[in-house]
Amino acid sequence: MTGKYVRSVIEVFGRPPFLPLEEHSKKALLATEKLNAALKAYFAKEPSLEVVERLGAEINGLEQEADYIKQQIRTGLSSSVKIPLDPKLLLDFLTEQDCIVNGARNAVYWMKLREYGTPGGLPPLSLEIRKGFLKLGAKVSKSIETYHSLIKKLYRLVATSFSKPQLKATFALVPEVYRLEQEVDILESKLMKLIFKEEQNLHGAGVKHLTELVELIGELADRASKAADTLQTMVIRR
Amino acid sequence: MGALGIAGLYMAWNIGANDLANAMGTVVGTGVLSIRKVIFLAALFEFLGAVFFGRRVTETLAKGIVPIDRSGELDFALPSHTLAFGMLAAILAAGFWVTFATLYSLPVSTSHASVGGILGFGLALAFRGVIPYSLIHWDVLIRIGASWLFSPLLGAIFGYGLFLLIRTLILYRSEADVEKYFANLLIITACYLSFAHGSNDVAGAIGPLSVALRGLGLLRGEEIPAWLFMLGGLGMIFGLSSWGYRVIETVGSKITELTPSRGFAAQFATASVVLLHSYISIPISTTHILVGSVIGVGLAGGLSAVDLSVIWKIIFSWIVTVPVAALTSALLFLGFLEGFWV
Repeated sequence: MTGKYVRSVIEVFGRPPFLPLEEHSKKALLATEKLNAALKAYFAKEPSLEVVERLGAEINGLEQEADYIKQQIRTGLSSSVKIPLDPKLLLDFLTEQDCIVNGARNAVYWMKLREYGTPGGLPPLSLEIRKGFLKLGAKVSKSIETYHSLIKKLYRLVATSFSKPQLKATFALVPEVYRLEQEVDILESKLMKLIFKEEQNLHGAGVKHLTELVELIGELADRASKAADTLQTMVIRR
Repeated sequence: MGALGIAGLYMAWNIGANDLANAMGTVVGTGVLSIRKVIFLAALFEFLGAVFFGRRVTETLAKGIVPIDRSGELDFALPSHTLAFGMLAAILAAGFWVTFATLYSLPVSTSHASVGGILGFGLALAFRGVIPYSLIHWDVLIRIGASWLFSPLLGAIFGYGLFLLIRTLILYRSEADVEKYFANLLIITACYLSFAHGSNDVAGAIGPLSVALRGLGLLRGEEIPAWLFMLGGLGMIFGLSSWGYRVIETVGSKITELTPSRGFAAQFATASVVLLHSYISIPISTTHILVGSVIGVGLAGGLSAVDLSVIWKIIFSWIVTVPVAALTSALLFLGFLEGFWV
């Protein structure tokens, strides 16, 4: 018994997944910004592992919050709930988006495995490599920021029942996400070459550590691009 | 007489407090009107609907199910207050069930419960051999039952079609925000819906009451007097203003994504289907039709999410309400007879 003397029609209104999706994307954006800050602390002239640790813990917190939102979205999409988009594609899209937060967490974890330029740590990295990572981090951050702007438009798109002007405004951002992902790829490739160029100084483990880190950071933009692609397909096939 | 008045008022209160309030909650949910304004408009048009268009459905409940108007031809070897007891039993049974179901948040209909209550009275009469079972208007009951099934479906089809038109012709092409134009229309549909609701639901409160008053010799003539419709209308307004605002608040605050264009489509569809049934003299559930219309608008792409599981709850309430109300009414009536008719 509810104890409230109310018979209502509220139950017919299902729990829409679109605002929580935006919230989830916001977590991805925050996690990426924190990863970028962690990269700045890690590849600084005088690296600060404490800052990286703190930011890593914050990213873990964001990941847990994102997981909770993901579960809420999933439970809200039971078979009796009808939404204007294919729920299967929506869940695929959510999975891609979720990988951004997970990717940020993995990158910070991997970063912390080796220390360069700290007292008692490995010798400092070259300025080119450090600059390369900072550029990569900034570009990935920009890519996720653009992706988040796209997701923010999704709610408005649904609210206007996919009006033509809103569709145009939303789809205009998708090529921008692709473009940024390509720029990230280019930066990744340049940085990889630079790392292998310094193979002698870095040794095998150093090369492995840094190339893997490049991959992990770059993957965030890949995931954003894939999620944007799924979103576009989902809207077109509605 | 006092018990009848209180029971009738309670039914009217219940209808205003929950059914009307639900319909009006969708207006508040769109953010177009404040609760106070909604209550004022709803009260006014509910009253007008009850007084000027409530007669047809009320006649169905009063005479269409049990042939009360033919009592002179029947073996009514019962004292004059038998009809009053029967109707008191019908109203109390409907009221009990609606109260119980509401406490458990079941989407029951007061109209369904009233029909069940009156049917129970008819069955009890037949059980006692006062009338043959065949004299109960089964054809009317079948028409009513079929309408309960088809009216939400009709609401869904109408809501779907109307929103599809709005979407294709206006929303899809619009450059600017067109919702503000629908906001004005929504005020009109809120009045329309209140009028339609009043015209159909007043019957649940005063249909049985009119029969009882006639049975007690307090009403003369063929027609139900206008003052009784006014009384029903006032009872529903009392329900709306004394408790309904809480329901409106609950519904309105939780429905955040019903924009004026969607609200307009759902309410216009609901009001039209309800008024159509008032015209053909069939008591139906406004709430169930509203649910149907909202689903229709949702499936036409008007809502971010509609939960169809509510359909099963409605079907369950259809199945349960009539037998429970009928059985309770029959038992109450037979109890009254055993206690008072010696």
